[in-house]
Amino acid sequence: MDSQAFATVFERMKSQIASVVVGQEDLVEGLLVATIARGHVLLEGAPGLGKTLLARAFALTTGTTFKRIQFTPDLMPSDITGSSIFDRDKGAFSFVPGPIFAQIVLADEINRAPAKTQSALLEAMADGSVSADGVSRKLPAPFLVVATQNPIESQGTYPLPEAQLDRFLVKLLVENPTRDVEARIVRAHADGFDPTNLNHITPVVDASTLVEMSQVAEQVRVDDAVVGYMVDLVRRTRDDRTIELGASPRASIALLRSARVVAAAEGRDFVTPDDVKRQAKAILRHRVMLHPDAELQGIRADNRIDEILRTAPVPRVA
Amino acid sequence: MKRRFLAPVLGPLALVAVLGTAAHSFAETPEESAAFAEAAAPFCSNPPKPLKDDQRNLCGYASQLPNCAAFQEACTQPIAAPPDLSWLAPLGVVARFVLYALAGVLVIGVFYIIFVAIRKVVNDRNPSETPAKSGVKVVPLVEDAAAPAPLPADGAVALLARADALLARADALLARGEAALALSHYLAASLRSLDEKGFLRIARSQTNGEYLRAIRDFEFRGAVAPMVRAVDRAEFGSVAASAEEVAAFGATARALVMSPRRAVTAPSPFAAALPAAALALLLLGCGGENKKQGSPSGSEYFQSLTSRQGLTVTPLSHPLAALPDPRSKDAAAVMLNAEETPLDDETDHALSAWVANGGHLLLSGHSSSWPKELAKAMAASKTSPLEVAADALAKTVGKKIPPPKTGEVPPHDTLLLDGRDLRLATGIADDEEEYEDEDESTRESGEPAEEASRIRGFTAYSYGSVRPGIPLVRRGDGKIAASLVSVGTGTVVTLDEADLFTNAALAYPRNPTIALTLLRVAAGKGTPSVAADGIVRYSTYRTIERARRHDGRQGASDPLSALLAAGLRLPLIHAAIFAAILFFAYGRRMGRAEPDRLDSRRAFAEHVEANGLLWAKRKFGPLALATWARFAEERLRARMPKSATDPAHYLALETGQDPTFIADIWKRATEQSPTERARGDEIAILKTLAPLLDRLDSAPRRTLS
Repeated sequence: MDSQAFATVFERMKSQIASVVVGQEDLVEGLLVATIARGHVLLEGAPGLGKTLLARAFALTTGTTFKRIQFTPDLMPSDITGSSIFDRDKGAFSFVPGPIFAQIVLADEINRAPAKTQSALLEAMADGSVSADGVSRKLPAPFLVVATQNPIESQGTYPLPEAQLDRFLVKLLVENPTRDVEARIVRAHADGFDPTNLNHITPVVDASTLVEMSQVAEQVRVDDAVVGYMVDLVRRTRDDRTIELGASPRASIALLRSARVVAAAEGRDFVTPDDVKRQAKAILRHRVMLHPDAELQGIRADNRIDEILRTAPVPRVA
Repeated sequence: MKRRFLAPVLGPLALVAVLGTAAHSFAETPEESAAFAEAAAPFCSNPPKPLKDDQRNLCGYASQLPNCAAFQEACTQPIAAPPDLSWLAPLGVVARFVLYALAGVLVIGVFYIIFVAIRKVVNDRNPSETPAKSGVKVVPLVEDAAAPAPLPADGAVALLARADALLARADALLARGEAALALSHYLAASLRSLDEKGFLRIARSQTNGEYLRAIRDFEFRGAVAPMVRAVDRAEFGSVAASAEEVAAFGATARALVMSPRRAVTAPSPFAAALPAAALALLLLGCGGENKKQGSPSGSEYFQSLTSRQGLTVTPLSHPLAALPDPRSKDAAAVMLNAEETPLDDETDHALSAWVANGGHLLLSGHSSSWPKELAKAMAASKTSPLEVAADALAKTVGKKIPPPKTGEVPPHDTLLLDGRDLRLATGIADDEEEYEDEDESTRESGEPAEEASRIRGFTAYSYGSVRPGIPLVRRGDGKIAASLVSVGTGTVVTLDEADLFTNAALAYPRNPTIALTLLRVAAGKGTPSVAADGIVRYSTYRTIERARRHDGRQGASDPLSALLAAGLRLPLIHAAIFAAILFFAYGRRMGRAEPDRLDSRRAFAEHVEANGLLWAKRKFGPLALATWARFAEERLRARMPKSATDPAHYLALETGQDPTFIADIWKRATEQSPTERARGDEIAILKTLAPLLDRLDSAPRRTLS
């Protein structure tokens, strides 16, 4: 597969998902980029904006296995990873895989589970494997966690620790649809669209194609000047006086991986600063921690990232 | 015997005759009565309420004018009490304290500046701190397109250069065989051109893709898109475009630069609202005068009087302190109300000199308000009282005027007053039979009353006399009110009152005669002429220019004299001394020619430098070094070619320093945390690295390859 074929497949996947999830093209693209870049996605948005639908449509389009985990305060780590139970016939313990053993895992309302349960995802997200009963078990490839969280509810929630946040490649914001888009959604439902029945979606690619696309993206050329630009952006988050904790080098690497996929999706075999800039907010917004004073002043992480993008010089020859 | 008999008889008869004549002269004629019976003047019927001070001064006339009840009523209203500002008194203490505090801060600031300046001068004498001259030729960012485009060092071009200069440079690069660099310059020229045309805004943080998306014009975007792809491919994909492709892009760029099209931008709502608001304020009048109201102290009657008589009265065309040569042919007589137009000393001096050189001045207002130097000159000069030919006036009252012929010069000059119309007329007929052969219609057209402006008067002034030779312009108390004074070769007609030319004073039919007489004496009697309407008009020999309130103060012909006039002589001297000190401390250095810098970054650089100096002074070494290091790294990375990744190595290479040494101190600088405890070497490192970056900033960029 070359970059042109990559772009064609990417566009087909995007179109198919966007036909189901109306008016969320940027969200769909972010999800695809993160998947191909072997990253995980944190979706933040109010209930009822189609987050679950997006994940399911994505799984069907990519021909991958899909599991959904509803995070609750009493959810235990073993409810995610699975556990060994005694098989009376065999007279021995056998491992029953949990819902984490799927290629697309939707962790719904992830911030409702306690930190202990959330951390059960850490190993899976970082290493693509799960350790249970002293045995490490490999997760199927590709493996993508799509976690959702509600920004407006704080009671009974457990904020994700920074270490876990850093493991999400991107944090995508699910915005309310515009009036026209909402009208289209309602029209579709009026015409019989059933979000629980997505059988009409046929896979555009299979899991192996996704893996191959990841490999193609990794071959995309990145110039030193572009690397320098990525690093500059990330370093500026550490120097910003309104940011308590800046992004880690993992953010620079995330920028690199995402920008490569974006470049390949446009049929290029090289990354431009434009690719980096387009992915910067999704990659950096959950990796920076604002000063309390700045938060009290109503400053958001996106504001500071916008400012960084506005002031950081772009590498160019002339 | 006969004489002795006649004397007791003729004496009382003469007295009776004199008194009778006097009585006639002060009696209200039927025409005057008719004038009084007319509708009230605006200032009588609708005076402003409350009256201003100058209007209230004319209240003495209100009771003597008929149909002026509203004016009288306005005069009886009590003067509005000034607003009670006693509640502000406690604020005085606060204000005084604030004033002292401000003065203290100002003094401290001045001394601090002096201290810094002196220390700077001392430091400048220390040769060890003199920065080394780079000796590097600087390529200006904005070049003259007409001049031959010099080939720059690679990468020295910024998007801040002019589009045509960039285009010329790109052509030169292509001719030299550097197609890749030429391609970048063609794109830069195109983007710059679109910036100049208003299609996008150039910024260092914008990517080529963002520029492309910013272009709303379909045609231009279509032209630029392939160029952007080619440049990105060359710069970041290492796939160079062929010379033919670059040449084609060159043609595209040239077409873009030459295109006359500009972006049409709708004005912002704010920009559109401003003129609308201004227009609304204009239409509202912003508190302008009520046109329906008439002011007793206004000059509408005066303007009507002079225009009807053919006199040219205009506002003063020059300041009183700079009147033109009075001996010139078109020199005007000047009309000055000393109460309304106070004069400063310089203007007083200049006006006295102007009069002495032949100027003609009509000076009104109470004598205590007259300009001191001019009054002194008048006191030492010959004074004669002014007279008006009252007998002739008395004779003409109520008589018909023979119709003069157009173009005819009247035989003699007489003031005519009929109570309704006041004008200068001539050809008074002693006998109506002389005009029997005149055409009836022509005779009627000569009736002044039919086209007259309605001028009224006031009896505070009297004219007419029982005996010739007695000054006629007198006030109600009988004192002489007007005189003619010769000062040098000029004349001053004085009137010891300021009210004569106001509406209230001119409302009485007799007073306009006095006003006209004074004007004609001051400005010289001109040649009478007969207009087409048959009315004889007596223009004055000179035009008359009337001084306004502000003409007595010498205008600020230059800022220095304005400051001196404002009493700022001593502060000016202080300011000059401070300016000299500052110049020798800073200005001398700034006066030297310096290489151009990136304008867009200079303010930030100065800000960083100033902050760094402040922190260094406050012993915040770690903070100063950490901040500077971030700034320096950003500057260096902005300059570095794409093949370079190590700022320290680049800095050492560009400045000719030992790379190992620079790498060590650069590492120390960039690892510095603002919150870390001071190690003591921060400022030393800062002082070592900062001059190197300064040298680099003034040099053109080069690639390492």
